[in-house]
This record gives sequence, structure tokens and C-alpha cells, in this order.
Amino acid sequence: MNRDEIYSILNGVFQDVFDDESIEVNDATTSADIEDWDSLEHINLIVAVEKAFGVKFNVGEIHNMNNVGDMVNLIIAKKG
Amino acid sequence: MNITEFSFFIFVGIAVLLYYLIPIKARWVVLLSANLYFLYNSNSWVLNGIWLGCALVTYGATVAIGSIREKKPKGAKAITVLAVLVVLGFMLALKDIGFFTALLNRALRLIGKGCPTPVFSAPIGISYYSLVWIGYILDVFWGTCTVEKNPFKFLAFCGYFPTYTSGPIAKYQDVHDSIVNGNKFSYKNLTFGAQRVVWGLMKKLVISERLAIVVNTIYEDTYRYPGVYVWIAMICFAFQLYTDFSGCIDIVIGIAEMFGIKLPENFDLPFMATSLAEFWRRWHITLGGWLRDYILYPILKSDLFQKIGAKSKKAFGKKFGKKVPTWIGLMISWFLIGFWHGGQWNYIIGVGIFFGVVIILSEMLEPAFNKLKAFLKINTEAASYRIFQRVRTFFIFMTGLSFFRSYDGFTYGIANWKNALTVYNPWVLFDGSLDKLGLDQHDIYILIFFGLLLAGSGLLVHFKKKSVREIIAGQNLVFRWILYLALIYAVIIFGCYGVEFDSASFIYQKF
Amino acid sequence: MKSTLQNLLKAVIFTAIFCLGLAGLYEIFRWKDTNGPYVSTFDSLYSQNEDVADVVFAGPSYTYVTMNPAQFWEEYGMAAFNMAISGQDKNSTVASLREVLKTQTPDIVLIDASGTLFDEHEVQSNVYRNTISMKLSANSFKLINASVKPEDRLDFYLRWPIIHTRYKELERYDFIQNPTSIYTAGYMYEWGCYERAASMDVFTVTDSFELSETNKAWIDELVEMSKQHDFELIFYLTPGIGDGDWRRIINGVKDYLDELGITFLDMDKDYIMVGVDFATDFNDYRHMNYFGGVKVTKYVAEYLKAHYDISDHRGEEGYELWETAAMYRKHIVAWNHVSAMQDPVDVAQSVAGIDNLIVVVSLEGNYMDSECNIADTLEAFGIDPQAMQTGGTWVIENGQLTRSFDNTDIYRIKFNNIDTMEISRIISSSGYYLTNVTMDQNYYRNTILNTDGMYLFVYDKVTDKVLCNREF
Repeated sequence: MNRDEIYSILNGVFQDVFDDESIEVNDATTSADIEDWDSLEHINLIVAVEKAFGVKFNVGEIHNMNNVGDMVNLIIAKKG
Repeated sequence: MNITEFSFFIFVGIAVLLYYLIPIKARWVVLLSANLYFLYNSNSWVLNGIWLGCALVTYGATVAIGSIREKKPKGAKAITVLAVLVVLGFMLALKDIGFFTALLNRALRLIGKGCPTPVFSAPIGISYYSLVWIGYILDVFWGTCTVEKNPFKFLAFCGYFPTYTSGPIAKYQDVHDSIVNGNKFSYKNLTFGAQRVVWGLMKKLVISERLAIVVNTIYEDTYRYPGVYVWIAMICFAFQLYTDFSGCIDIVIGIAEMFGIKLPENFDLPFMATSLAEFWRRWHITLGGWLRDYILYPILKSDLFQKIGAKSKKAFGKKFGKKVPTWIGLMISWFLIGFWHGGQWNYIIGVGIFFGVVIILSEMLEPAFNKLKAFLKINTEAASYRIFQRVRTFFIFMTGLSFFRSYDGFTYGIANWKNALTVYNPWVLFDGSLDKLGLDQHDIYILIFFGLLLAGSGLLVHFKKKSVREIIAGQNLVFRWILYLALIYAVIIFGCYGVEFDSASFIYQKF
Repeated sequence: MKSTLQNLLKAVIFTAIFCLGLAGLYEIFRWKDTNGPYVSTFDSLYSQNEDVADVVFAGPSYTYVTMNPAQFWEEYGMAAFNMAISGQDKNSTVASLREVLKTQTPDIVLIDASGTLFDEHEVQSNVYRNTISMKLSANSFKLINASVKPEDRLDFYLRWPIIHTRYKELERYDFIQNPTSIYTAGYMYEWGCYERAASMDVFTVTDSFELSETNKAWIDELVEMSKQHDFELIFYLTPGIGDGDWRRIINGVKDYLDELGITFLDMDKDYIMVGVDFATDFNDYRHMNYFGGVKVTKYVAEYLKAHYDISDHRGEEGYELWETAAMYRKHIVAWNHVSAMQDPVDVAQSVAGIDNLIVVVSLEGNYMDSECNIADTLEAFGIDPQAMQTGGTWVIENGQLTRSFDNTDIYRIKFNNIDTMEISRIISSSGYYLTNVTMDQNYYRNTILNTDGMYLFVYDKVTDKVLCNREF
């Protein structure tokens, strides 16, 4: 799975979680860019991402995600 | 040993001196010795024995978990659960035994039996370091931090004395390296740390202890001081608690800074918050953070909660339904925050469930409020609206706190509210009655002056986004020194300490 | 490296400035009361020349209302120092005596035996008076250890935990030394009169309590000190002390002192020889007033004169304390004496020999109607009696007529950098001349009084007291 493929799935997940069809994310996107992305919604997002890609993040990893780019790197690392 | 005592500062002074006199590699040994000395001075042998036992359990468990985590995840999980239960068990047993026996008695009464409530005092600081240790065990299990294999270095971290009595709840990742690797001497760390200590002492000794006199006078006799007095007591108590707790944290963080160790902040101008949720992100930050990391996230991620989420989406529709598991998780967290303060219903409700309900209700009703605001054409961008939000947030916080202060229990808190709302006596504000609450004119002027100083510095930080210490450090030496000396002398002269005062301990040390 | 050294230097300088500032503040905040507000025996002790006192007294308030160094000096030339403190207990007697012995080498030390009557301080302020009035030294630490429970000791060592609360009560004499503290040399002038009867217990109670351990240890320690420092040790008890059980304790003390061969001047029992009049000599039940003190001082001085060879130091250099004490005594006695006088001529004659006075004499309204002897009064003050015909206001300073006026002038006198006085003359609607006297913001006279007569105001700079302020 390459970065672009991941992003096409990820955009769908974000749109679904935040209920906004217009969301497009990239490496630099952070929680500040999306209105409803607070620390609680973050958990829902993580769970949805885990489900969509069939991966598991641990608590430390969830913490260290500073932007969407970090998340994508993790997914790539986990998918091998 | 109390951290506002003179002997404590002598102890810290000696520790800092020794710390920088020995080679950097060995500096953690000074911290370890200081930890043990502090512990020795704080608790009885039995309680220190329990402390050491729990510490060793944590140490042994984390080393074991770290080594088998990859190969035998099931075994690691078992050890983790066991170790957490041991630490948690001792914390609950020592702190909340009264609460549990009361519950047990209530159940036993149904079958006509009862058991006596054991009486002993909990070791100070147990609520704080237990959480640090549990967090560390879980982090090791999750693989989010390294494992300290040297038992002495582990003790240097896990009993770090400044945070021992009232936090902040510093995670292993935040402080461990700095504690065990040693820090280079830095004049800035030393002076900034000392300044922060003095500032904390000012908050505690000059402001908080004076407010305590008013609060205690009124709460001790609300028959004599009804109505408006109760309002005064509730408002003063909110500020008393803030200056007490944040002052204590300033002292702790300042001392750690003198050793070159950066502790996480515990307060971020909470009274500037415009909503209760924001307030709790600015107040006792490390406790909230701990619950988020080790309770809320794990349970929200759990399969059970995901199932609940799926079901509720079906039942209530997508938008509302997906919030339901979050709200349940929040309520559990808030219950635990309340319970952490003590196994009494006035804590569980006052600083727990009540705030949880308010936060969840405000989220539920947000769409309705938005419509109302639009209908009334309220400009939510205006400064006046933000001030209104801050006052409202303060009021909600104060309401919860009024139960927190009712040590005598929940019904007493309710009685006080009834008193505050039904007795009409606003004239006491004007007829000089307030002079009889234990503070004389001098005290009131001192409170006003230092209160304004505190508020002013807070506003400076809020709007300049720069710490007051940095701003002062940019001034000329003569001005700076005059300021520092004035503050130190002010604490020495106007502080409430010594034989003439009952030197009260920090409110948050009880927990 | 250079910046580290620089920073180190900065830290040292800052600490030094901090300590200096704290020491300066300490002078303002320190405890300045051993005998009463702003009267501290220790202030008097620490301002003394070395090795001047030949006789030293130590005891509680019973001692500071009786043993008057000014009188020992004036009448016998004895340099006696009175190391009395309110509620001075056994520990404090020993410690304050040690403090005296650091600078003085007395030949005779007289100890108030009333120290044997109590073991603990009754009032918290007396704990402060005894422990933290003394300068910091090993001696002061020892006294604190003996008088304060362990958990409070650090507060007493550091002193700031106690004295910082004084910010609420700071007064002028926190910033400058109260001269009275030096003038009185440990003695307290009390002028009240409490009428009581002599207690017959001193004669009828003849049995005694066995000497307590603490009392025995105390006497032994003092005896030890007397040997070590080579002074003659005498115990005494002032009149009016020992009723009932207290007499029994004293009898026990007396027995022990007899055993040791130490003199005990029991003036409580020998009050007839002292000449005490219980109707006039007491300020309250156990404390004597000035008049009682005069008799006790005289009795003790006569005893010392008869038994010991104590040099007369009058006129020698280095004994300024006693000179000022004697001077002050003259003034304070004059104040007590004059303020009760009814006749202006008596007032004028009585104050004639006293310096440092400011006198205002004013003839007002139809002063000729007054029945008092205006001419003689004017003359006694050194004013031409002929002036009686024209009227006017006169100001006399230190015996010199410095100002006379019959118009509405304002006259200001500045006698040091704090105290000023203002005298003015106004014409009232009915044509009367009225004199206002203001001092330190206090009006001594500013009301419109339709006085027909003579207004007389006498103020004493030494005692800071108004001797006379009335119309005749």
C-alpha cells in the first residue's frame, strides 16, 4: 500500500468521523485544521483508522501523532 | 516535613549544593538520598515500609514485563494487572478504607450485621505517586517507555521528593531521563527556580492563608454567617484553593527547576477558561492528563465501548449516537476524579459527577444554545461575551467546590446552598460586618494588593504569551533585584506563618 | 567559565544585599518590650559602656518597680543596673545575668527570690519578652531551648516567624530608639495607688515547703556563677509578695540559703523596717509604686553601704547611663508633682529648677477678673510683672524668655527632627485673646474658651509629658 492509496482511504475515514464530505487531509494536517478534532474525537478517529486498515495503535503511538503524516508513517510501518 | 517549613528549604539548599558539587554522572545519587531522607521525615516506619514494598513490586513487575513483553504477551499482561492491583489496592486500602467499610456496612445492615471502621491516617502523597507508578507500569506494558533496570535509579525516579506530597503527576517519560542522567549547572535554572519558589510561597502564605481565615470563620458557623456570607465563603474558597494548590505546585516545580528537572505544569490560568471543559484542561492538568491517558482512552478504545458506539449510532442516529460512548467514558472518568479526591460522596459528587454532568449537558445542548444565540443575535466574539463565559465557568466551578469544601458531607453542602439562596442579608456588605471575619484592615489591603499582583501577572501571561519571569529577566539588574528583594521581604513579613498562626498544610496534600 | 564566575559573584552579592536588608528590617521589627511597650532592659544593657555596673539586680516586674538605678546613683553614687524583665523566670534570670556578665563585672548581684514561686510563664507575651529581646547568641539559644517546646523552637531561633506579624503595629519607636528605654535603666515608674493591707502571713506562716528540684538547681547554678565570676550573691524579696503557700515556698528557700550562708533580704517580712505604708505604696496588689520603690531602694542601698565597700562613681566618665537616669527621674517626679498642683505660683516655682521645659503663659479676656496671683506667677517665670497691665502671651524655653507677643503671630518651635510645637494667638469674636497650642498633631488647646484669666502650659521635652495645661 503506498501513500496515495492510504490517503484515499484515510480521507473517507476522516469525512465519516467528522461528518464533513469536504475534508481532505495531507501530511501537514493537524487537529487545529479540523474543527471537531478534539482529544475525545481523536480516539474515535483512531478506532476508525484501526478498523479501516486492520492495524492496532498503542497508547504511546496515539500520543506521539502530531499530524496526519505521522499517522500515515505508522500505518505504513505496521502494514509492512 | 512540610514544604513551606524553613527546615525544608534548608534541606533543599543542601541538596542543591551537593547536587552540583559532585560529578554529573553521580548526581542522581543526591536525589535518591534526598528522597529517602524526605520520606524518613514524613512517615512512620510502617508506612515507609509499605511504600518501599509497593515501589519494589512496581520495580520488579516493570523489569519482568519489559523482558517478556515481546515473547509472552499473556504473561506480561498478567503481571501488569497484578502489579496495578497491588499498587491500586494499597492506595485504596490506605486512603478509602472508611468509604468501603461504610458501603459494606450498608449492605451488611440488610442482614442485620455490621463491622467496625478502622481508623488510621493515610501516608501523605499516596494519591500522587500511586498514579505515577500505575502509569509507569502501563507504559512499560504498552511499550511506550523504556524500563529502568537499576533499582536505585528507579527509586530516584519513583520517589522524587518535590512531587511526593502533591504532584504534579509527572510521567516517567517526562522526568526519568533528567533525574537519572544528571543535569549541568545552569544559573538560569537556579535563579528561575528560586523565583518560582518565592512566588509560590507568596500565593500560599500571603493570599491563601488569609482567605482561609475568612472561609473557615464563615463555614464554621453558617448560622451566625448566613446568606451573603456563604456566598463570600464559596467565592473566597475557590481563590483559596487556587492559590493554595497552584502555590504549592509553583514551589515544587521551582525546586525541581533548581535541580535542572522540568516538571509538567499543573495549572494554566484556569480562571481564564471560557467553558468548564476548558477549565479542566487548565486546572490540575496532570490529573486530567493521567485519566485521559490511562483510563479514558483505553476504555473508549475497548471492544465493549466500540460495540456500545455502534449500537447507539443505530438507536440515536449517527451524529448523536457516536457521542454516547464518549459520554459514558467521561462519566466514568469524572466519577474517578471525584473518588480520587476521597471516598466521600461530597467529593464524588462535588468535584466529580457534577462537573461531568455539566460538561456532557453542555455538549448535548450545544445545538439548542447555538439556535438561541442566533435568535437573540448574541455576538459571541465580543469581549463582554467572553467575560460572561468566564464568570459563568467560575460560578459552575465554585458550585462544585462548595460541596468539596463541605467536609461534613453532601447534605451539609446542600444545607449551605439552601442557606445561601434563602437568607436575604445584602446589608452585611456595607455595614462593616465583613470586618469581623478575622481579617483586619491591614489584611484586607494586603489581600487586595497581592490579589491584584497575581491577577495582573496572569493577564500579562495571557495576553503577552510570555512568562513573567522572562519579562522581568529582560529588565535592568537594579530593577530586577529590587523586585526580587521586595517579593522575598513581602513573603517574610506578610506571610501567615510561625507561632502566631496555625500553619495549615496544603489542601491538596490530603489527597 | 568566566560567566559562571560572574554569576557566582552575582549570587553572592545578591545574598549579601538580601541579608543586609533583612538585618535592617529586623531592627524595625524586632521585639522591643521587656517591661512594657518600647521599654526594653536589653536595649539599655546593650547601650552600656563595658565594665561600669558594680551592682546588678535581676528579677521579674516586682524588681523593676522597686530597684531604681537613678536613686542608687543620685543618693549613693552606686552604679546599679536593673536587669528586670516582666515575668522573668528562673531560666531567664540565669540567661539574662549571663548576658550582663558578657560586658559587666559586678561586685554584687542581687536576685529576686520570687523566681522560686513559679516554674512556667503564665502569659505568652512574657515568653517573647524573656526569650527574643536578647541578642542572638549561644546564650539566647540555650534560653529558648529551656523555655520553649521543641516544635516551636525554630520559630524562636529565627525570630521572624514571630516578629513579622508586627507589621500591623509599627510605631515611631520601631524606627528610632525610644529614649525612655535608656533613661529608665530597667526601672519602671508607676504612679498609681492601690490601697491594701499588709498580709499577716509573713509572721504567722512559719512552716515551709521543701525546696523543689527546680528551685534548688536554680540557686545552685547561681551560686556556681557567683564563684566563677567572683561576685557576691544576695537574694531578696520585695514587700507585699508572699501570702499563704508562697510564704511557705519562701521559707523553704530561706532555709536553704541559710544552709549555704547566702544573704537573704526578706523585705516582704521586714516591711516595717523598710517603712512600707500599704495604703500608699502599691500600684496594684503585689507591685509597688514609685513611692514604695523609693523606700525599698533606700533600704537596699543602706544595707549595701553598711556591708560592702562600693565606690562612688559620681562625676566620673563613662557613667552617662546613670547621669541620664537621674536626670530623667528628676523630670518624671516633677511631672507627677506639678501636674497635681492647683496654684500657678506653685507651678512656676516648682519648674524653675528644671531644664528642657517649654512654658507658655498667656493672659486672656478679662484676666484681671481672675482670682489667681498673676503678678507673682509672671515674676516667678522671669516676666516683668508690669506686663500684667498690657496683657500678652509669653514663651519660655529652657528658662529663657524667647518670645512675647500681643498680636496674632504664629510661633513654631522645632525641638528635634520629629517633634514640633505651634503656638498661635487669635482674637475671638468677643475680642478675647486665645492661645492655641499644637504638638505632634495633638491639640493641647484649641477650643474657644471664654476664659477670663491666665492660661498656663508647661511641656517637658525629656519625659515627653505635659506638666500643666489649664486656665487659672
